[in-house]
Amino acid sequence: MSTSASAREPNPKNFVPDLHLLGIRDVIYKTAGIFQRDHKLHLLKVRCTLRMKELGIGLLRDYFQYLTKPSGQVETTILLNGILVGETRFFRSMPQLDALRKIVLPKLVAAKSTAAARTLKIWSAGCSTGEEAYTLAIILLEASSLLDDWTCSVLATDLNQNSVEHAKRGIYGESSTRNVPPPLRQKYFVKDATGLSVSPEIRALVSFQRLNLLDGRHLSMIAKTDVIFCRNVLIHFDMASKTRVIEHLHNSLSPAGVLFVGHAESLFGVSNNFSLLHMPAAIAYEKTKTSLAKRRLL
Amino acid sequence: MNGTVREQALRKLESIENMPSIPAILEPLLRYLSLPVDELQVQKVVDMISNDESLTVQCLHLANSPLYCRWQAVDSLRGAIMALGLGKMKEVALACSFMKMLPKQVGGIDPVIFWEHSLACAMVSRHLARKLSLPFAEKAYLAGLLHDFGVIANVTALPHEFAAALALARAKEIPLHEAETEVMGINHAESGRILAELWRLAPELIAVIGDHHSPAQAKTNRGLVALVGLVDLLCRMRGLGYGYAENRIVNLLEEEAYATLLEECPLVRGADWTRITFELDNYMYEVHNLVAALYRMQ
Ligand SMILES: C[S@@+](CC[C@H](N)C(=O)[O-])C[C@H]1O[C@@H](n2cnc3c(N)ncnc32)[C@H](O)[C@@H]1O
Ligand SMILES: [Fe+2]
Ligand SMILES: [Fe+2]
Repeated sequence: MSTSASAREPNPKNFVPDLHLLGIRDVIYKTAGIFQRDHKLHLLKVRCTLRMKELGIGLLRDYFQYLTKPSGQVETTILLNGILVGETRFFRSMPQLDALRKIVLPKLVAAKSTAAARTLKIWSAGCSTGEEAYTLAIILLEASSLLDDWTCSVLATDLNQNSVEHAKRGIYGESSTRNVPPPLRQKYFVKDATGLSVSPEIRALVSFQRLNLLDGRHLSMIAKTDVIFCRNVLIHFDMASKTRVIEHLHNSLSPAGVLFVGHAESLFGVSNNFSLLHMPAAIAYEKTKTSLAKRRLL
Repeated sequence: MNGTVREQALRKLESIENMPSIPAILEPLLRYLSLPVDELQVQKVVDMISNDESLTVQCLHLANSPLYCRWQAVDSLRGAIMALGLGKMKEVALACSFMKMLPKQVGGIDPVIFWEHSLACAMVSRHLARKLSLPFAEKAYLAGLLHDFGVIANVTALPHEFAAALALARAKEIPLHEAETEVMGINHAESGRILAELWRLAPELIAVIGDHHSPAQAKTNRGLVALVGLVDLLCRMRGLGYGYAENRIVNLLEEEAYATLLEECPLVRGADWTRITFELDNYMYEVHNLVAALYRMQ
């Protein structure tokens, strides 16, 4: 898991940002939709300095130029790997997972029972190091009586290349697995020298990809998803980026699909195309039905 | 519906000796408090209330609770009444008397849980009504607090049937009023209306008590009835219900209560229900503390 250059660094009161640092902030913003506020700029500078040492670049001005030249994309990716914070764990926010298991999956199965293909697709958008995606796969496997003759899959994407690689490795330590109920830990993890390794059965359901949620062209290829988990990702975005990402998610969702955001996040003011759903102790969103959309405009 | 079961239940509810009687202090107090506020004398209210020791203690406690935004400790009944305001005394007197009416643990509903639900509905109804500038905001608190008055009627007049209904609701994870109808052909809204009329509660309270589960049928006070109906549903979905979770998915905008509220109060359109849900969660802690404290005092 990547920690950002870090909350450990105190914010120097009289920190004056360099013009080029502001330029680098814009590069990050345009690429990932993440805006580093003024009080976080010194952390961005720490990140840049680390990279500059590795590259043997002395001045921020030169690093800025290095980032913005046509071949700078690679460096932007590397810089982003250090900036994107990926705090996550297995079985995070249990009420949402219970709602998925007890309510959403049965509802989808009922809604799609007449469909030609019995497939169920879940997407962990902003999956960080993969804990959420594997958790979803475990829930699918545990729901085998309901999903008996269904083909299920979990797509998991993140912009941070390092996180995606960690996710593919699928080996975790104590802290991120502490919420896994003991019977499931027994069943779906193998302990080895490096930590807890996710069982092949689960891995088979999940595929990982590096993907930018602002990249409309690539996102348009993800379609007919039944459930999207996009939790604790939107918080990093400003309103414009949020709106864009949410529109993409809307297009990727199947008609009966359900979108979960982080437990304290809201789509209010971001999009009218989603309606709030209440389930026991959890909220989620569904595509607004056209009749309701019309009623709202009246 | 099974006519005989329903008729039996109705017969029990309609014989006065089965019903809880109005607490001795309440009748004169309410009669006095219904005079215009500028004709009221604080000393008279002090005299009446001090006849009832537990009401005195509860007034003191309420006056010191954060709900009434006290900054200074109040230590006399007179001080408490001044702090709460004579206008609030009706609310307080009713709240405290009702709190004492639910027999402990009869019928399987835990009184603490029941009062937490009632108090949460009261607080959220008032909060929402003020926030949305609804014309009946000042009536919302009491309406929310008493909406499930019929549960008291059921617990007292139909203890076994009610216990069976609650057990069924819990087992099937369905709304309480549906389980009641299934078991005894009548639900707490209907029985609440009978008791509320017996006690001659204010017309808007009778409407809320009798129609909060079918707001479209309300003949008067439709906005208030619908508001409380909606808040009741929200509380049940956020862990402030009757001690169990209903296994269902709710889109508030598709609810009868919402449609009715919208007809009466077009201002409701565009309300941020996600935020309202989070605000409701904020009350959870206060509600727990207040009810625990009030119970300790009895
Ligand atoms: C806090 S993690 C959330 C992990 C997981 N969803 C959870 O709730 O536990 C946020 C993730 O969003 C990713 N992220 C941020 N901006 C992104 C973007 N533009 N495209 C894709 N992922 C992004 C970050 O790399 C980070 O891994
Ligand atoms: Fe009710
Ligand atoms: Fe209720």
